[in-house]
Amino acid sequence: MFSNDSISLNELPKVEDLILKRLPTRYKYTQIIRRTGTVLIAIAIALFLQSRNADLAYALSRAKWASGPIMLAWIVLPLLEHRVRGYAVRQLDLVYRSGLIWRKTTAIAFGRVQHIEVKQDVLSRWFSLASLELYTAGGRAGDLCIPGLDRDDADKLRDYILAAGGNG
Amino acid sequence: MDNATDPTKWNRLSPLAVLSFLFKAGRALVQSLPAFIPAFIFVRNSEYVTYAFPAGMLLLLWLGVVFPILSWVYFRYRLTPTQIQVQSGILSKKRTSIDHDRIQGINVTQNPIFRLARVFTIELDTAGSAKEEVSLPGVSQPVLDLLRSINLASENTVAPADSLKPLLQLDRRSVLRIGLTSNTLVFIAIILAPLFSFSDSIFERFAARVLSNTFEPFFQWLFQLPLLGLVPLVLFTAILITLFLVGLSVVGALIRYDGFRLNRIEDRVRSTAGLLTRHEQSLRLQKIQTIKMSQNVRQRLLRCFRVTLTQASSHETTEKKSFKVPLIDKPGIARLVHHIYPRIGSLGFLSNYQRIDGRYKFQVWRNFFFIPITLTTMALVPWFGYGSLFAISLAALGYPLIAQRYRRWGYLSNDRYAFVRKGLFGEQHTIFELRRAQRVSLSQSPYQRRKQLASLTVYLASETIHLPFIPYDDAQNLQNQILYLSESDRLAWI
Repeated sequence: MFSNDSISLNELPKVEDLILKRLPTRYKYTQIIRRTGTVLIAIAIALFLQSRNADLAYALSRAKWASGPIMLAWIVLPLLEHRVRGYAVRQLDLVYRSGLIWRKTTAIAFGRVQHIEVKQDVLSRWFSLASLELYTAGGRAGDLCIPGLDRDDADKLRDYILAAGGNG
Repeated sequence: MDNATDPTKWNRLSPLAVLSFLFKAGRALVQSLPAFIPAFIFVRNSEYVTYAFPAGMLLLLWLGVVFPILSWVYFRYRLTPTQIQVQSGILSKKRTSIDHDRIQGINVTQNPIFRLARVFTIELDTAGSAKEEVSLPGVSQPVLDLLRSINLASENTVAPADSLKPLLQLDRRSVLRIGLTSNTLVFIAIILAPLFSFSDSIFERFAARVLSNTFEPFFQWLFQLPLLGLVPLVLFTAILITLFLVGLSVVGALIRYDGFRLNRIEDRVRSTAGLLTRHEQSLRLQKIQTIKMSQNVRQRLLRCFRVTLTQASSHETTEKKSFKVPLIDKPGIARLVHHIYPRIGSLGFLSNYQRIDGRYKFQVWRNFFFIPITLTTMALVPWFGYGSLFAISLAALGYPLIAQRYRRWGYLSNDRYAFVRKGLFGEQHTIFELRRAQRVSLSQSPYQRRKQLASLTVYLASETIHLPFIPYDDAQNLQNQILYLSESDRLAWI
């Protein structure tokens, strides 16, 4: 028989009350390494262009004062963001928060997960990290991706989510 | 009529299907033409050019005669008690099987030639990608009826479509209104605009030769008037072009939607329409992800809406797979919505919306108009001098637009459904079941954090719904409620 009891909003489990688990500290170091590498490559390209073209050399000599601090801030940002970034696993869903300036909290019910990917690139392999990607139906605007989980945690999470979702 | 066919054995399509395959080959050829251009240029400048003509003839023979006939010869289908199986392919064979319960809907079209021969083109809508969909061009009425009866969830009764009172039926006048309010009018204008300027020189020559002979006195009179003559000429041309576009749009609407009829049959809605080619579309009610009611400025004047029922799909196929009702009024919408969501209760949704926070206006204006325009003009100072800073005042023009958009934003939710309104000049209302959400995101900028505001994004299997600048508590409550409903939900969501 169909029932339709009214539920008070205050009785619902609250996402905002969750205590989020931070990602491993190693992850922020991999991010800094990655970003430093990108900046170094950008500088190398700029230097190369500077040696080739006089007009560009002038523009770049001006630009470096503005871009220097920005690049530095970009490299250091993960250190601050690390304190915000975190995830929580509940019985039926997963909550992930990220973003230092624009803070975003995404929640995804296990029953809605279509498939899961655990990814590792070279740098993550060295630090034994992995990223977990959860795909939902019709999802195109970036499905949920938790980067920099501990490799074993990622595997455990994947198995748990698949098991929990299958029952739902 | 070949009434001896047994659908459970392997069957061929009607020989007329050759036409469909021919059309398919033609379309494939046109689509791949850009890829041939480099080869064409290469061959033209080489000694192979003597072989080009026979090669082209062979290609045309293959595409125009051999491919369609062989495609028809090798195309077989059958209906087993659980599946529809299709075999196709000339060189590489392809076999597709679709379980009956995977079929979301059956779309039937009948072009004039098929109508004479009483055969149909059937497209089976599945939840999967567009490529894997099955199309059966040229099947007879008994097979269609069988497919329909299979597709109906309950086995016992199949009510013939015409015996039921339709939910909606459009007469010629309504179809005319579709033509007048259709957005394709604008699209046609946009597509044709460059053609008009391109055709200037052609038109001039044409005008010089033909028009000047017939309308010579008129034109002579027109051009004699130095400036005044130009105004009526421009007006005349503009009216002529508008009339032409409106006429085109009305004819288009007539061809596509003539005799539009919307029925509720068992667990689905079905629409039939079309002047030359009959289109029939059906969709299971439980597959509907969102109901979208949109109204552009012209539809607002005529107090009508256009309704789109979306179903789960990847982004590319959303538009193609959605079920459209081209013209419907408010009572019609209420009836339709109650068929789809019987428990929705009263529909105060067209007026009782809750507004988003008013600070949306300034924040969005600053982020999308003021800051970008200021930065661009500042970057232009070295070239154009400080005078260019006056261009910043252009940003002010954006504010009324943002304010207008703010006025359109609205949301409303009860314990099962959510209603969202948005738009700029027109408006669009979206209704969806909260339980169908795939995931929810809540985001906050530093400013929103200070002011206890948040933006909520609900990802559905058919689209993404965004709600900016709502009170943080509301956003949280909605997020918690959506999670609760989708987790406690035991019904199918796709």
